[in-house]
Amino acid sequence: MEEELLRIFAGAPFSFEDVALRIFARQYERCLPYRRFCDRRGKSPAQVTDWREIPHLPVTAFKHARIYSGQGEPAHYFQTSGTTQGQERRGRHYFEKLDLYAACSRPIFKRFILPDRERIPMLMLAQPPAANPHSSLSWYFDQQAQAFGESAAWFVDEHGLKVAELEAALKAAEGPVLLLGTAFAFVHMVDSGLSVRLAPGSRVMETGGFKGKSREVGRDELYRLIQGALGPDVVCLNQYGMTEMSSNCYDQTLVKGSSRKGGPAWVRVRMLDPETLEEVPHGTPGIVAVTDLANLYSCAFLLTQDIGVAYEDGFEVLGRAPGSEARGCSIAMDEFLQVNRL
Amino acid sequence: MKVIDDLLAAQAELSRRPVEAILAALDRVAARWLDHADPIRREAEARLAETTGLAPAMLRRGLDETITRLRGIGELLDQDLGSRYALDGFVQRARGVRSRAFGPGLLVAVFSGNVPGISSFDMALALALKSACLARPAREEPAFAPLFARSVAEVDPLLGRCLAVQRWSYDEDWPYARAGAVVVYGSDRSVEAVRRLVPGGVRFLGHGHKISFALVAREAAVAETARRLALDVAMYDQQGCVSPHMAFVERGGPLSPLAFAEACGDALAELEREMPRSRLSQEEALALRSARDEAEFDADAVFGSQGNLAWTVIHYEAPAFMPSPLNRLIRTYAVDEIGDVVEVVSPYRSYLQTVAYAGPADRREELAGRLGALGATRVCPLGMVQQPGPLWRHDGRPAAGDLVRWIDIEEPSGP
Repeated sequence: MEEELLRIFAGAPFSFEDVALRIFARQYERCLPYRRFCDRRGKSPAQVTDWREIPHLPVTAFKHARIYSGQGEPAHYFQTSGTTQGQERRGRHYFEKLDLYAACSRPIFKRFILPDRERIPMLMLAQPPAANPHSSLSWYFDQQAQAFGESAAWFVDEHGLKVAELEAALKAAEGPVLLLGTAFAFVHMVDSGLSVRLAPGSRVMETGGFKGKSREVGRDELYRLIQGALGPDVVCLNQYGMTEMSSNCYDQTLVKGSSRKGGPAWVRVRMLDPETLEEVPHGTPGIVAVTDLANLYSCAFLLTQDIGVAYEDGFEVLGRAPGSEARGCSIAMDEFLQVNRL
Repeated sequence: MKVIDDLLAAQAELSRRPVEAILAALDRVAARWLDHADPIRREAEARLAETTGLAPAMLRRGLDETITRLRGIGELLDQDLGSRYALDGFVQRARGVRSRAFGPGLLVAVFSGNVPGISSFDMALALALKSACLARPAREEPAFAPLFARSVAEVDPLLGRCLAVQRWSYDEDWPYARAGAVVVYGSDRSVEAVRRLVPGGVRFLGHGHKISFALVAREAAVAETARRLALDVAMYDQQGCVSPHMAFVERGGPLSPLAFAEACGDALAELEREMPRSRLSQEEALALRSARDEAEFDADAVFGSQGNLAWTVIHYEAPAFMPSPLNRLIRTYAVDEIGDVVEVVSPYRSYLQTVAYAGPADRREELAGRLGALGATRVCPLGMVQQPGPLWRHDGRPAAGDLVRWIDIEEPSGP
C-alpha cells in the first residue's frame, strides 16, 4: 500500500472510498486497540461498505494505547505536547518509517503555502529537530525547509525565542521570506516589540492553539498584531494539523482567496454531531472528524476534540471546545480541572 | 431606585404583621403550588419545560419536593431562632436574657438556573423574616421566580409587594446598597463578582462551587440502591450542587462494584424513558463525548446509552476523585473499605457538600464524623439528595439564623 499511497501523493487518480476501506481493513487487522474500539461499535471491515461508517478513533486513544498498524517495531514516534489540563499523559504517534509522512507533506505545503514560488528563505520560530526529536512540528518544518528553503534558520532554543537574532535576520532579508511557528511563538514575537517591514510576498504560517499558555489571543487579533510587527504586506496562513495526523490542512488564502481551509485529495474532513456522531450539514458546527489516508502506520480515522464548520468551499475550525460549565453551584469536570490544574 | 423604594415601603408594613399570619399566607401559596391543576402551577410546568428542556415528569416531581419545603419554614424558624415568636417580640432566653430577632429588611438573592423552583425557598424565607426580597433569576431559568412572586401576590397582596424579580448585570451595584443581606448561588466566579459589589457591613452569603458524591457500603450494594443512585444522577440532569458526581462502592456486597455500576446503568436507561435528559449545548455534548472517549481507554468498564449521550456509567476498580462533566455521567469506584474514601476526598475538602449514603446506620455515624471534619455538610440517604428537609443547613450554615440580627435585653444582675 505504501507504493500506492506514494503515487496518490504524487497526483495519481484514485478512489477515496476504495483506499479508505482497504486501509480500514488493514488497521482493523493490525491494531488491536482500534479493532476492539470498532468491535464495541459493531463495525468490522466485513460490515462496513461505506467509508463514512468507518469508526473514527478519538485522538485521546494515542495517550492510552499504542495505536500502531505498521510491521515490526516502529522506527520513530512523535509526541503530543501538554494541554491546558496540565499534568496529563502525552500521546504518541508511531511510524513504521517516515517515508509516507515526508512524501505527503510536501505537495500540500507547496500547494497552499508556496503556490507561486519554488523556493523561499525560511525562518523557523521553533526548535530544530535535533533539539526536539519527538516534536512532529520541528520535523515537519525541517522537511519543508529541505524541500523549499532557499535558506533555513531556527530561532528557538532552550531559553525561548531568540528575538534579537530573528530581528537581525528579518532586517537583512532582501526579498520575501516565510516564517513558520506555533501561534504562541508569534505572540512572543509581537510581545517582544520586534518591528520590521517585510517585502511583499512574505508570509507567516502559524499552527496550533495556545495550550494554556499565559496569554491567549484570537486569530484575527494575532494576524493584526503580526502585520503590526512585520508590515502590512505579510500574508498570514493557519495550518490545521496535529501530532496524530500525517497530512495537514491549510487556509486557502493564496489559492482561492478564502481563509476557509482545504486539504489534499487523500484527506477528508467531516463535522459530526457530538451527541450522535452523525455527520452534520454544512454550516452547522460539529466535532472535526478527519480521515487522513497518509496515516497508514497508525489510524487513518480520527475524531478530534475540535469544533468546526464545513462549507462548500472549505472548512473552519472554531477551536478547541472551551469545556463545559455547570449551570449552577455544582462544578463540571472541565472547570474543576482548570481550577485545580490537574 | 424605585424598585428598592417600593420594596422597603412594603416591608415597613409587613414588619408589623405577626409571623404566624405570614406563615399562614405562605402555606396557602404552597397549597396552590401543590395543586397540579392550579393554573399558575400548570403555567410554571409548561414554561420550565420550555426554558430548561428538563423532562416534564422530573419538573413535576421536583416542584412538589421544593414547594413542600416551604411548609417547614415555621419549624426552621423555631430551630434557628429558638422560637419563631422572636420575630414578633422579646422571648425569654437563658440567664434572664430576653431577645428579639430582626430579618434583613431587604434580602437580595442572586439565583443560579440549575434547579428550577429552588428560588421559592429564599423568597418565602425572606417574607417569613418580615423582609422584602429582590430576586435575580438566572438567564437559563428566568421563568419560575416571577411566577412564584405572582402567586404570592394573588394570595396576599402585601406579601406580593414585598417581592420583586428582575435581572441586572454582574457589574451593577445598585441592588446591594440598601440590602440587609445578599445571598448568591452559582459558580465561584459569579459569587466573587457579586461579593466585590456588596458594601461592607451588609451580610453576604455565597454558595459557590460544590461537589457531592455517593457512598455505597457493601451491605447496600444491591440493585435497588443502584436505582436510587440513578435517580439522584438523573434529577436536574445532575446539575444540582447536591447531585453526586461519583459513587464509591465497597467490595464484598451482594453486587460487586462492577455489577453495581452496570445496574446503575440499567436504572439510568429506565429513567431516560421516564424523564429523558434535556438538550445539551455543543460544549456539554463535547465534554461528555470526551469523557466517554477517555474512559474507553482508561476505565475498567463503560456502560452508556447507544447512539447518543443520554447516560454514562464509567467504572474503575481503584478509587480516585474526578468530578463529572454532569448531564448524567457518573463514575463508580470500587473500594475495599468505605472508610478509605475519606483519604481519597480529603484533598478536595473545600468542595465537599452532600454525601449520599446507602448502608447500615452504625457505620454511617463514624464516617459522617470524619467527612464532617473535612468539610462535608450533609449526609443523606441515597435517592434523596434533592429532598433536603426545610431544616437543611445549606453548606453547613443555618438558613434563617444567618439572615437575622438580634437585640438582647440583659437584666441588672442582683442588688
